[in-house]
Amino acid sequence: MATMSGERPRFATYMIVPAGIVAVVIVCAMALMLQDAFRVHVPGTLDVGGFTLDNFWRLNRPIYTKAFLDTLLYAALCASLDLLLGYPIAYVLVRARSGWLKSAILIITLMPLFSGDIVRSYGWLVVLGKYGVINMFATGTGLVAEPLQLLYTPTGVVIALVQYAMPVMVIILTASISHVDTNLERAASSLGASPIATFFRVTLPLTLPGILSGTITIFAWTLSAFATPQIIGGGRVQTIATLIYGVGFSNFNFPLAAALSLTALILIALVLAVGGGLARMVITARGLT
Amino acid sequence: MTPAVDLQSVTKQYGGLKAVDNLSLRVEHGEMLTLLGPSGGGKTTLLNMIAGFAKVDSGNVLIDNENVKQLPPHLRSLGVVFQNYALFPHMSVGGNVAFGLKMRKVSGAEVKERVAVALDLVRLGGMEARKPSQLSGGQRQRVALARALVINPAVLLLDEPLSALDKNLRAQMQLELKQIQRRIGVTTICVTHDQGEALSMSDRVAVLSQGVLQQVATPTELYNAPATPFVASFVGETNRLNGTLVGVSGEHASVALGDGSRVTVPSGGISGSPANTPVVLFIRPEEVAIEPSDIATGNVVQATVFQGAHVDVVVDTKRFGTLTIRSSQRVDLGWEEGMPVKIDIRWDKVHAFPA
Amino acid sequence: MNWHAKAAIARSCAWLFIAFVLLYLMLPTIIIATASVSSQETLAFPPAGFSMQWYERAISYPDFQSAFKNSLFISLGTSTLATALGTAYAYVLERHNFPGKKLITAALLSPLVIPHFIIGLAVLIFAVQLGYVRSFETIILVHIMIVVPFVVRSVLVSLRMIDTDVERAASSLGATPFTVFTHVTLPLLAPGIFGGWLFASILSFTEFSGSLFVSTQSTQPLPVAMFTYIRDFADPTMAALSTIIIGVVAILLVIGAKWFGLSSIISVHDDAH
Repeated sequence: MATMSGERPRFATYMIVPAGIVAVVIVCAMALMLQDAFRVHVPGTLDVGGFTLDNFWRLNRPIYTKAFLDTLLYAALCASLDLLLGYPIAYVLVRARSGWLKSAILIITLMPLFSGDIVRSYGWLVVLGKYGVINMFATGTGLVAEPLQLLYTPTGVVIALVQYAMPVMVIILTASISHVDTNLERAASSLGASPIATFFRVTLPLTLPGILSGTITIFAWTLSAFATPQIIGGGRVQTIATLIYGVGFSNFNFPLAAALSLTALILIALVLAVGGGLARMVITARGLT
Repeated sequence: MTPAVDLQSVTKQYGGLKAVDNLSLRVEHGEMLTLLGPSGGGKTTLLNMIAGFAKVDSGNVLIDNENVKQLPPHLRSLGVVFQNYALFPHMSVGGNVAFGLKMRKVSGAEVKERVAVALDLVRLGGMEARKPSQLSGGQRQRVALARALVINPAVLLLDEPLSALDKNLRAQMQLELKQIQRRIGVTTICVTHDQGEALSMSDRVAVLSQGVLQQVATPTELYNAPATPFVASFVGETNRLNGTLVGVSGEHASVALGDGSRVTVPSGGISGSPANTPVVLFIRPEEVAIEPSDIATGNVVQATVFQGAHVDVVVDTKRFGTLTIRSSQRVDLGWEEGMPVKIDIRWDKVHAFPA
Repeated sequence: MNWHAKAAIARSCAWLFIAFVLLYLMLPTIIIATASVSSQETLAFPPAGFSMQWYERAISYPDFQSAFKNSLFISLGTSTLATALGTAYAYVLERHNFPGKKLITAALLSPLVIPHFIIGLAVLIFAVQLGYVRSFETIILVHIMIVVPFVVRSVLVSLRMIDTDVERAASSLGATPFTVFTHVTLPLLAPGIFGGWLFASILSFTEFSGSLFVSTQSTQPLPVAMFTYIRDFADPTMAALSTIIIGVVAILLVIGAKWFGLSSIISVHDDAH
């Protein structure tokens, strides 16, 4: 139950202040950084010069455009793979009857989310390496003649990123699936629909909002990934994030880093807006709330 | 004649609890049979077992002489109307009704026609394009009915079909359901806890309590000749008196009441019992005559409950404890608390059972 | 029955697929756990012998020790501050209107969609402009920004579950709004607040991208120290440290599941069951 009628008590006003300050700082810091994008970089110092659009012209260079396009590609791959792999997990999580199975799956799925970027990425470092488990298995069983080069390649990065984003996809999908009334599935069954028909005609369409929400979220989430591409990519795979880090930290070229950041933010905002709009259209068209 | 549905010694357990206990029941073609009982009595479990949503632990379920125990729900030829209707929100009314036909691979043109006929039958003709969210509760229920009927099921299952409707609508729907069922002639099994509904709509009623079948009979029989104490007290209103059996002779039995007086009642349920068996006597409120009295009788009005067409008078009696007596409103006798009254029990209408 | 056979096969395939996905999810964890007890220095798999030397090294490595202390300090500071101001804000957000409500809320929740490293960069620039040295305060500030949205969300969920009639009853019995808040609302919010605090601590402790830009050698939290180590060394010490962290997180998750019903956190309830 939301807003109370009547006056806002004094203590309530005071309670907004601390968070309000944080909000203000967020805005100021972001604004400060973003305006840096329009300033000249003075090499060797952290100061910035006068107004310029130079940084944005520089973004047209191949390394930058390639990084942007690559990042979008990885995000798209992750979103689709996470959906494909995550949906069955989410479904079992919601519909399984055994309590311990649910808990087990839940913990396995959520642990990557809580163990932190570094631990997660490091794990893949070991798995994908030349002497890592995948290669040991592949060469050991004779599937391939030479060890696969997965580390420091886009393939390796995507493999790691898919696992990185999976918990989020599963969380969003389980929320959606759990809202499908099982009586609807029973009704379909009683009308002659086999379990597969029931799934594709009733369950799946009804979870469409969750699917769309999850896909868009994962897409945006992957665009923001840093640790994984940095560690697994090892400098040879460039995403927007690793680029900003390289430009900002190795060269201390804050203006350029800010320009890249601004572009990245616009990209993410676009994805969320367009994706969200499309999703809303689809949902109202089909009458799903 | 083979029955439409034949339940043979069906049992279902949840842990140590028997939801349905060794139940056998036959439903004849074209009849409307209602499973009546209190919540948790096993009737919904039974329905689920017939539909295939719950596994049968032991016993058999035959539909049209075919044992469907192992058959999954989508392969049984049934129509189910759920308590909350379970209409597909992402499909139109037409889409909902057409669903079962699509599953049976009926051709497009035929689907359209049959859907139109089904909607006409439930008086929702022309509403194919509407969405469930745009319909009222009563309309949704009719769509659910049309959806179940359009596939020409062998058996129609109704799970508390009227419980979500308000009182006036309910009365109207009771009639409509009955009419539709008669017209189509589909074997129908209905589940409800509302005995008024059961008695008014059904050809026969099966009363269940704690998973055990108490009695299967026509509404009239059920009301006038209950077979068990549970049925006597669950169906209709009743007063309960305790006594001890003195002796049985033929159709009559002599029972000693708490105050030592003796009454003669139909021997019915206690005809085989030995003397001195504790017995319970059930008498309906309308089988007790009541009159105001000028002099003190030891029977005093405790409360009156106005029911519209009649008044229920709660009387604290000298001999029988507290009785609820029905008085018709035709003659307004002005019942008041504390008023002395004369009562006269029609002992020939008592239902007696071993206690 | 033919149908049952088909169904059984389909079901087995489905379970196989799920097992494969779960294995994929668990792979890194299993591998580094096994690698961490190797007696050899290279990160080969399968590991050669058994040894706990890497665990010893992980715990005794000075950089890790100081980084661990830093992380404790930072996450404690972050979670407590974020929980306090997040709870306060969530309450007013849910129950009252105030000027700028939408803007402030949007700003506060924006870190959910802003990449953490950008937040780090922005705060770095902000700190530099103010002439502020990169210190613990800067890191904690970044962490608070990142973590507050989650605290607010957790508290809002709890808030919406409170029966407002209870608050009204207190009011009708003479309690001032502030007393209602402290004596009725807050106690009822306790689970949500604690859950938010716990969540915030874990998030802050494991936060990397946000910390990277604003930390220094002396203030670096554990994840940043680990990052540096990975770049310089390739021995199983990191595997040992990671395993320790994963173990602790797993235990916390299990406790969380028992206490709060983890299911409620991600609404894994099933209608009509």
